[in-house]
Amino acid sequence: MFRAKGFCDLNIEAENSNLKESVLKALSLGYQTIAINQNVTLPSLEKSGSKKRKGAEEGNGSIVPVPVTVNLSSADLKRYKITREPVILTRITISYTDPSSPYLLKSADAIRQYDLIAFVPENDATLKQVMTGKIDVDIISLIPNSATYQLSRSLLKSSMERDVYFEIPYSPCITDVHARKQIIMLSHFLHRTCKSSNIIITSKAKCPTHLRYPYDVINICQFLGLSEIASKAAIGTMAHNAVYCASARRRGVSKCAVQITVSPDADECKKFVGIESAEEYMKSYKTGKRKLSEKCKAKKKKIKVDKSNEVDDSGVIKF
Amino acid sequence: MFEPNVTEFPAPESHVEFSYHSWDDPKLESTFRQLIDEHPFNRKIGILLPGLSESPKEIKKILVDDTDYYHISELPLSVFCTPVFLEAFLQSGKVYAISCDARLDLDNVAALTPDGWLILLLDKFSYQELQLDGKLSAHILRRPKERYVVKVNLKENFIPGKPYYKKVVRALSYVQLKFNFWISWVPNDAEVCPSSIAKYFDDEGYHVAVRRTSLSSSIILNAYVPVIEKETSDMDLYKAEDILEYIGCSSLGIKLTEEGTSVCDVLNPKPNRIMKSICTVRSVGFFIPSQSRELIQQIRSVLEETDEEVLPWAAVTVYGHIDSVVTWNLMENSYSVNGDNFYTILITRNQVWCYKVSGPRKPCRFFAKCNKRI
Repeated sequence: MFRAKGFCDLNIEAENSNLKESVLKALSLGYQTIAINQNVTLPSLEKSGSKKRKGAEEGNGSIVPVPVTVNLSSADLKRYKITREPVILTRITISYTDPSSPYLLKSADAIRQYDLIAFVPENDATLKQVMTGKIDVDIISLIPNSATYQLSRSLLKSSMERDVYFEIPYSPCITDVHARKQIIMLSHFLHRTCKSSNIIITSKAKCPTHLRYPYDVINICQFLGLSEIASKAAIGTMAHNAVYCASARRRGVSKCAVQITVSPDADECKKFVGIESAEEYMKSYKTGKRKLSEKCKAKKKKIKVDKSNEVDDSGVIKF
Repeated sequence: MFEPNVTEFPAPESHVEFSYHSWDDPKLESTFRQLIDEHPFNRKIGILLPGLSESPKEIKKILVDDTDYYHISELPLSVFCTPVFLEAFLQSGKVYAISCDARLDLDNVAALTPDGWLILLLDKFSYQELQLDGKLSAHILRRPKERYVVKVNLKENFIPGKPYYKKVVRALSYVQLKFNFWISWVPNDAEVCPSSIAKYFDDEGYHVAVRRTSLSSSIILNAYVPVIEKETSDMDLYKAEDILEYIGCSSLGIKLTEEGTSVCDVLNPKPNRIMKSICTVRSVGFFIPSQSRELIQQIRSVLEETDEEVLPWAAVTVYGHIDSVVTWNLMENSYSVNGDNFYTILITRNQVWCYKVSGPRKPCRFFAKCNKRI
């Protein structure tokens, strides 16, 4: 079980002009937790229909790439004056259009290798599938054109109860005027529908120059409809929660087995030979309890009967 | 029309408290106690001496002599609860310890105040693992419920062998909370050397390093200096604020102008006069309240020795550690954009002006205000 620390940037593109430099720059700016992102687009069935057999045989392993990691030596960290211990995660972003895509099931094991799983639903049907929890989702990154979706508030609420986080990237705001407008529109749309809760801010940086200092990001977030505290939480505690929930999802439901060992100096009445006799004892104990509870109920009934008698006699209710 | 209210960008809130006294005012002692003695963790001292070209040796001596402090790396908190430490250091002196290299706003931080309070500010996950009671941080308004304050008094009712002691020790040793600490110790008995705390931790096997306070000074030439009247029967609060602004600017080396520009409207306070030089002294270290008291006395004696034309007044600014958990009187410090907590004392020959600057006290809203009601 790993935990995020410090400021987080949960999206640095693996298709980067210089990945190692970007990671080191992000760390030297003050971020401590970084996720390296790989984008995957699932082909829809209509396209691959004609080549179904070939695609199924060849594309099984090749659709989901192997996670990319960056090895940082202590000399690198010293060169960039990084004192805090970095936490580097892997993340996959899957964009797809067809909710009945077979690749999701097929490559489930390959997807589970990643620490964080993000989805880009490209239409309403996939959005509904992602939000209702039919597949494991940690982060939903919406396409910054709010006309694509029709989000209902109940759907959003249910996805928030399952600790799914929404991502807003900030580097498109820096590079492209058109994208900036659309991202501001998207964030205001999220503010309208869900009060901007469960939002994380990421960089989506494709080169080192797209990265910004954490406190500058907090100031950028004020345009996106987040308050000062909320924007700080968006790169701090909300991102921590997202990582924590993701690792809990990977781990699955916690189960345990009970082992009963008999100590030699135990009393005779509590001695069991093997687990079967213990189970039998438990069963007998339970039935005994049931009998007891039935007796109690009977007693209560009697009391009630008595009270009703009292009321009949005197006409005044006494407690 | 924007849905959330994004058109307003209010400046970060800060509180300034101001009071002024003459030197023979009986209330001065209580003001000093509240201002200086209840502010335990000081990181930096800045002194402004208008008129002097070089800082006096006596002042330098106070800042450099006997101001060493110790940096202990990766110290688990359960060390503070060992019976030996409790008896040898905590009960027989004042321990000033604060976690360094940790951010107040995101990381876990800890402090041990001279009153014996061990104060922790923890995130949600560490707090849930630690089996001690705590409170939600005072700077959180309803949500997100992420930061918790845990307070343990190590001086009162904390006796080895008792149930409460066992509970605290078990909790602190179960969750391995480790911090880098700055520590200094003032023993009650003057014959005991303050460095024995370093020896104790070194013998226990922790990495201890001695840190010296650094000293630097700079001079601004031919600058305006505001004139402070001898007798102020009716204090103008705007003037007091202007002078605080002036002290801040001069200690950063900024020359203020007489006329405002479109960029900056901070002006030189009036009345003023030109002086040849302004000397600023800066010192970075880990200062305890008694040292800043000593420094103020020393500056007062320097003022009385020199002529009024040469040195009209002096100002001392003591900056608290920005990532410290507590500020004055165990009040919780907040770090939203900055963690300012400092005080400035302006000293003339017959007056003392005290400024106390702290960050926002009200918890901030998590959700931005919107024009429509959702």
